[in-house]
Amino acid sequence: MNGQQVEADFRAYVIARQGVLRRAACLLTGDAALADDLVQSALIRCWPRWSRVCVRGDPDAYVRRTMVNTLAGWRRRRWTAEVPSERLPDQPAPQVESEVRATVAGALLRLPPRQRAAVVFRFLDDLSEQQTADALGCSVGTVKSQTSRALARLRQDPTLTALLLVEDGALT
Amino acid sequence: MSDTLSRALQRAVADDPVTPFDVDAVIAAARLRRRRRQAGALSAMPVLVALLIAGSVLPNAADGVRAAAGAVAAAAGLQNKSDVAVLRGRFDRTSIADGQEPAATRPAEVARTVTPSGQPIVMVGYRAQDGSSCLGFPQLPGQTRSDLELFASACGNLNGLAISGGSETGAAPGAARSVFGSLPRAATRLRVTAGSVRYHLPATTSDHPDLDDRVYVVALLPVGAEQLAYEALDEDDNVIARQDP
Repeated sequence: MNGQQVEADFRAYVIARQGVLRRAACLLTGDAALADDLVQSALIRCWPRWSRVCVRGDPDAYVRRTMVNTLAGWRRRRWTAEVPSERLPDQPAPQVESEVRATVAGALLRLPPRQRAAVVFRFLDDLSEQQTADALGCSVGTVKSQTSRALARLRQDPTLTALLLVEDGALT
Repeated sequence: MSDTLSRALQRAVADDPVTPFDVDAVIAAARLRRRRRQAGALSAMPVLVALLIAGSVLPNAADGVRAAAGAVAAAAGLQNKSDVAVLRGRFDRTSIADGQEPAATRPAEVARTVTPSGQPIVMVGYRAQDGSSCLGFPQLPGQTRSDLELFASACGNLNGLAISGGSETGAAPGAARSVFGSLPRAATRLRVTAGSVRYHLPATTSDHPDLDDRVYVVALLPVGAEQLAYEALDEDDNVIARQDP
């Protein structure tokens, strides 16, 4: 695959999959703007290796794994880029957020990052355990245990449980 | 629970508007990142760049930062202005002074480029609620959370001179200071006194079509500059504007 083909393939991939990636990123980060950053950062990191990614045949797995690693990297590093200011030049516009989104995102954010990622990949992106393991860079057994623990926690989350009861009439 | 949870997750993100990514910008940013790494750009050298942009209120944040970054790139010796990548990003002020309510993040446009030596130059522009555009101009090689968040360290409103960052506002040691303001269009050079050091900065004008006859200056000063004063000079070396705190 030459450079032009790689670039064309990358463009096609981004156009086709950006929505899916961003939705997962939204739930991984709990923040729409941060989700944009995450997907964008992951794509930037993936682009130089895109020819190899294509050869492997499953670009989604590689991009998801890059997203997870990028997000983990953000958490590890101490935030040093901000400059405190005594006066804000303007105020942010209020964010409109649906109750469902707020409740689900809140419950997910209370999970540890790996459990959250496992839940998002398994139940939002509908990945198999093997695919989720590839995305997280761990074994299938770890995915099973992380998912199980995450579901146990979510079942005990009162806000999410209340929402799901309203949605479905009962927990299944 | 899994089916119910799946539906809840789908619903939670179902009405989320997706603005398409600019693939060109992503590719450009990736190339810049590679060049930067090849150049070994993450040394903590202070960088001094200056920017004079004609214009009052930039009509569009993305256009504004693109124009500004192009001018910075020219000032820094970059030949190819197309190396400037403008990406979506996030402006974050969650660590403002104690006791104040932190503002949420807001979308921003981020321009990134590198100097020939690989030093990164990053700017951010966003639309304020009063309709004006703002530009931020951080430079913290090796101190940032990610490439795309380099921009969050500084911001100023182009409608007036503002100084942010540095020890003046209690920022962390090593933070860059940035200066924003307006100057007469006749200004061709800027003489900046930062501490005991004086810099002569060239004027660089933007070719942005929407800019009018006002001139703005954005100067990034070396780490540790305690006192700042500047004089704007015309082509005959006359002082036509002065700022002395």
